[in-house]
Parts: sequence; C-alpha cells; structure tokens
Amino acid sequence: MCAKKLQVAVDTARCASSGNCADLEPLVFSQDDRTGVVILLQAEPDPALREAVERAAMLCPAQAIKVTIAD
Amino acid sequence: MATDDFPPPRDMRCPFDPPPELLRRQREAPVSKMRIWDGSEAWVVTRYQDGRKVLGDERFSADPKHAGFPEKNVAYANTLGKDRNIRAIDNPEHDIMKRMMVRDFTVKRVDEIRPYIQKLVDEQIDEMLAHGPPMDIIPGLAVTLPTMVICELLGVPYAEREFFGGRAKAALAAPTAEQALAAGQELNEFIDRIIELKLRTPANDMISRLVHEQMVPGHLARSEVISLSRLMLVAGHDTTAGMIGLSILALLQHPEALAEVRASTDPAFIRNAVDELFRYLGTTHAGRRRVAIAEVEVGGQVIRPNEGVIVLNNVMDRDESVFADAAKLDLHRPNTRANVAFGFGIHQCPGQLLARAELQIVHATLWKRMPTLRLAVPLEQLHFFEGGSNYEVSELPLAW
Repeated sequence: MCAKKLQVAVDTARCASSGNCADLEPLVFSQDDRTGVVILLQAEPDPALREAVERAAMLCPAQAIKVTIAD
Repeated sequence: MATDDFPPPRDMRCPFDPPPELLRRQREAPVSKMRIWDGSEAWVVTRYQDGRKVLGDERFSADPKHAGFPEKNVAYANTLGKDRNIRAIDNPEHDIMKRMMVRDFTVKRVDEIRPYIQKLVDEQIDEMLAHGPPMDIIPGLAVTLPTMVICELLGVPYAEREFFGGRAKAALAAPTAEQALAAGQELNEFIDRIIELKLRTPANDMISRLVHEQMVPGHLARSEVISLSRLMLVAGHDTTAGMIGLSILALLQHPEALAEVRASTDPAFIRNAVDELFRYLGTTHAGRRRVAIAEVEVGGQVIRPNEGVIVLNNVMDRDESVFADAAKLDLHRPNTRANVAFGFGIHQCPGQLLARAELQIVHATLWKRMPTLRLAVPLEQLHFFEGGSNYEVSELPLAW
C-alpha cells in the first residue's frame, strides 16, 4: 500500500470569485484581496484533505477546480 | 388551467414547503412549461442536476436583452432588468465587472466584519430585553441587522433607511411599470448624491472604492457605478432580513433542532445548521431566470433559442436524489452545503458569505441570550409574503 497523491489545479480564468473554496478549505485555497480570484496555496495537499478539496471542487459555481488522485 | 400558472399556490398548512404543484412536477414532469405574469411561457426546471447544468452552461444567458427572457415581474422588467451590471450580463463582461466589486465580499473581508455584526446583534437583543415582550422581531433584529451591515459595507448613510428601504421594495415589487420606474429613478439619484460625496470624501467602503479605483481612472462609467451600487443596496438587505425572520420561525416550530442550536458552542455545527436552514427554507423562491441562446437538451426536453427558463433553486434543494428525506429539517445533514439557495454558476450571489455570517451570528447568539423565546401568537395568525422574489414572514411577534 502506498499513499495516493492528491493533486489540485485551479483555472483562474474561469474563477468567478465566489470565495466558496477559500471558505471550505482555507489550507488549500485563498483569494486575491482585490479581485477575489482563487489563489492555490498547495498543489499537492495532504491526502487527508481529499474530502474537503473534492467538496470545494464540487461546489465551485464556476467549476474552476480540478482534483486528481495519482499514484 | 390554474396549475400551469407560475407561481402556483403554496399549501399554507406547510408554510416552509414549496408549492405542492412544483414538487409534483419535480417527480412527474421535471422540465415543463408554465405561464408567467406577462402571459408568456417558460420552462420550469425542478431537479438538482438539471438546474446545475442550466446555471453552469453558457448557452443559457442571464441577459434580459434577449427575446424570451422570463422576467420576475413588471417591476424587475423596468428596474434591475434594464441595468447593465453583473446580474444581467454574461461572460466575458461579467467576470471583468465582478472582479471590480467583489473585494468587499471575500472570505477575508467578511471575517473582518464579523465583530461588527456581533456588536449589532447584541445591541438589537439588548433593545428587545429593555423593551420587554411581546415584540415583533421583523422591524427589529431581522431588518435592522442586514440594513446596517449593507450600509456600512457600501458607505450608504443608515439615517436614510426609510427613504431607500421603501424605494427598494417598490423597485422590485411595485404593481405598475410607472411606480417601479419612479422608485428606481429616485434610488439612482440617491446613489448619485452619495457618489458626489465619496468623490470629495472617500471612506473605507465599496462605493468609495468603485468611485476612486474604477470610475475616476475610467474603468467604469458613473452610470455603471450607480447601477452596481443600487443592485447591492436593494439585493443586499431585504433577502437577508427575510431569511432571519423565517429561520427564527422555523426553529421555533422545530423544538428539538432549536434545543441543539441553543446548547451548541461548536461553530462548525452552527455553520451546518445555517446552511441547512438556507436549504430547507428556500426563500429565494422566484427562481434563477435564464434564456436559451442555443438549442440544448435538459432533462429529456429540447429547449430552443429564445425560450425562457426558470431554474427553481428552492425546489432543487428538495431533490430526494441529493438530499435524503429532503422535506425534513436536519441540522446535521452532511451535504447540506451543496444547496443552491444562493444559485449556482457565475451569477451565484456575491453576498453569500456575508449573509451566512449574519445568520450564523444571529443563531449562535439569540437563543443563548433569550432561551425562553417563543411565538406570541398562534402560527395560523402569521402572514407570509409570497408576492416578491423573496418568501418571508411579514411579522413575527415573540414573547420570552
């Protein structure tokens, strides 16, 4: 058993500045103070955060977050 | 053909539930046509996945300029529906303007405002305790809190609340085009005077920032600053006021849930409880309005260009395939944050984090400071306002 890698990518061009992701998982997502656009704090967060980042991706109103699970 | 008219009536024995006809359509005819106020027909979308698809798809426009756009009522058609701002424009223009105004609604900014919200909630409760029972909480806590918060955020003088409050209601719900236009124009002139003031004396508020960072350098026209500010002002307090009132009533009608809220000191539980109240109450019951600009299949129906679509977010939030036992208020519901009370897609309410914060602070404070709070009249005597874009209880006399 080896731990799966959690990979997160954001599309800042699509981002609609809702702030949902930064509200849901502030360890991984933040917002630009002026434009509200997503800032990705960690592209490979701790796999323990998988549920939280998957939820952020699901709830992103602009569908601007991609989560992949890699070996 | 009454059942084809939108909106169909609610069953007031269940004042927190959507109209039975809409729930029937969700089961039997999830994407179907209904007739709206101006006699035109629009597709009504009732299931969660179908609604998310429409709201996230660029082939559906939020721009009322397109033929076939299903406006909410005659007032909207003559006020907010004529504006060229984030509510009524599509991408790429939408995101450009949104990024100019959203900085007062970010997670960080809302966190900065929380102590101010707490202070206002405490002051309103102090006033209730000093006044003594019975007291109607609608003109008190429910309306005063969001009005003071939006005034602070925008930089609008709270002393003018009677003026703009009355005009805001008329601009969204007046029965004639003339009345709505007149109220809308008075609001525009009111905001124009505030812009003049902010030009001379900028402060830490949204209108000052729009004026000095966007209007003065030429990124936004003065008319755009007026229309954006008017939208934030009218949409920014009435919706939250209605939700505060209805959520207090809902907890009073669910004593076990209320007991948990009263006893809880866990911010995560209060957040979830508030999200569930948003899901369950569905106060934004006029739906999200769109018009197809291409042919798209939704839920087995073909929607053609220039056909209007009403995405019923309040009915989507009762979709059993997403929210098990959806008619039940369950403050521990694990996925309740997936609700679409604030809409979905790029037009999701920019004030959602602020509204959530206000509701969280109200419910984390009110029941602890007033543990014996109860309805002062029987439920049957309460009046509910269904005519606007927001569903609310008109008065809520409480005793303690």
